[in-house]
Amino acid sequence: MNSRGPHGLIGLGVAALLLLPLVASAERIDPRLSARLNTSTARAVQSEIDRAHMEGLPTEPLVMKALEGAAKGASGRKIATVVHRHAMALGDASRALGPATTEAELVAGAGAILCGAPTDSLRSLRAARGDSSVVIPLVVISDLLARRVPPREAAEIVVGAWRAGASATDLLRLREGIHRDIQEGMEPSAAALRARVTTDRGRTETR
Amino acid sequence: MSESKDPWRRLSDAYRERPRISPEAKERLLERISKTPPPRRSRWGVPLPWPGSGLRLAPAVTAAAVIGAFLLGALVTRVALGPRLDHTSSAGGKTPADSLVLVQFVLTAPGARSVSVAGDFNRWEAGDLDMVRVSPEGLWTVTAALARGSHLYSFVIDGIRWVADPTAPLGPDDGFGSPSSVVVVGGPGAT
Amino acid sequence: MTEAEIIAQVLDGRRDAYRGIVERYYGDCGRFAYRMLGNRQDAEDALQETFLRAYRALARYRHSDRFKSWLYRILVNQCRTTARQRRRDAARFDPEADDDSGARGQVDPSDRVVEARDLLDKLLEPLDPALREAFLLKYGEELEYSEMADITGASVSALKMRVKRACDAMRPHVEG
Repeated sequence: MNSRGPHGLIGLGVAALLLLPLVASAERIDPRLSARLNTSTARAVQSEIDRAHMEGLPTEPLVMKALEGAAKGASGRKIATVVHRHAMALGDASRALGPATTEAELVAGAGAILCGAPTDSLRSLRAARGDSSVVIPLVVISDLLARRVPPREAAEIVVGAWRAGASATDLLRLREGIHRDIQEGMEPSAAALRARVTTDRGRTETR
Repeated sequence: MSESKDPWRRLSDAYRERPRISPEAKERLLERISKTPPPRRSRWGVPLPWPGSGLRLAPAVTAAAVIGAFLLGALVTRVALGPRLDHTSSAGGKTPADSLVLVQFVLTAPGARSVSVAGDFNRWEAGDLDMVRVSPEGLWTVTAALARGSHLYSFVIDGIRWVADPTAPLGPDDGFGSPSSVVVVGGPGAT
Repeated sequence: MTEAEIIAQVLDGRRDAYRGIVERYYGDCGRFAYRMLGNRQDAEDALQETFLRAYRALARYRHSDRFKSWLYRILVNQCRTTARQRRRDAARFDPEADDDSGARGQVDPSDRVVEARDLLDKLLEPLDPALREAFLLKYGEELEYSEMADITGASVSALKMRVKRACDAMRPHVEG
């Protein structure tokens, strides 16, 4: 008797329908995640990515954040938590920076927010020079915050310089100067204040 | 416990007694290993050859050798300035939207036996972009072709220690206990 | 099977082969972690992270390195991380933890009827972590100073000083 008669085909069809959700959900997981994460972590991360995608946010940075966690030996729960936090920060950055923001600006903005930058500083940067990329100012704010310059002061010095027309190179030199002062033992807030005084003085003298 | 009368020897013997770690903890570890994808070997990257290094330049970046030498010549200045805002155009003169930009990574690590760069440009795979030690004082370097935009990266020392680039802006707390750095590649148009 | 053979099997995709590494080193790593951190829970956490990190980093293990040194480097770093995290947690949950720490671990030199194992715990606890680490690697694990330098990143002379200071701190209670 041929086992591939009508009953066999119906059986195969039912099995296929039952398996379809599993296959579909397995296929929905980015293969880079399944290669480096265990199944439950990969699923949790993929959910965050799917949510971010629905909100129109970039997803590649979230994939990379998960891979970073895997490379650094973090637990699955930690990876999922960190990815979630980054997804939230991307959303906050998107609302603060407005439409037509590039992916690089969103990532830098999310980084600044995660470092503790007030979201109104992102709005201020955008408002100051609407046609210029704000990646460098945001990178500099993040760096100052990571070096424990208080958030308000870090934001004010960078936004102030940006508003006054500082170039990307100017901001990076500003960062370098603050970094050097901190390395030489100055308190971060004092180093930021000194940089601000120097910057303001420079602006006054050139007028 | 040892019969030795020497008190230090008794302490040493006491240390060697089996610790009070539960066997269940070991089984939980093995179970977790069974669910973790096995580690993979892979290589990536465009190491810059140095005399006597025995390294080959990949054909696609042959012209970058000259650029790489120039970058090394400006090393101290570049390190002092911090991050590598690199406006160098890629070899071959491709269109800006598609081009890769050469970026040189440098780290002083005299005690290291190996250093590599891991970041979002190579899926954070430590060991994929190995640096080359170029001086007895412990200067390590590698040049890589990165897409325009901003990237997060770290140095990985001896395969296990993740450190930020001391000359580059710090990235946000990665959430995993290891610092990372930011490099912005390609100039204002890329961001 | 040699470690090189086990590693080759794991890198070929045979996860179960890693059990050979765990069986070989779990006990020794466990006694170091337990003595270093002072409690079983923290030691188990540090052990788990150590062996997981080693597993994930196996592709980067260079066979010119002694495997035990490579593994212990991960273990020592993980114990340091666990201890740091515990201090942060303690500060969060018990603002007066610092006040308590000075009172803990005082050894009564007149108490001569303690077992060597309990004495070891009591002697180790008040030691500065760097001194404890050096002492355990030298007199517990019986490593050479050059290997300890590889593992900890400290210089041989610094390690010798730390071991000496640990012994000096413990001597009155050990030798009576």
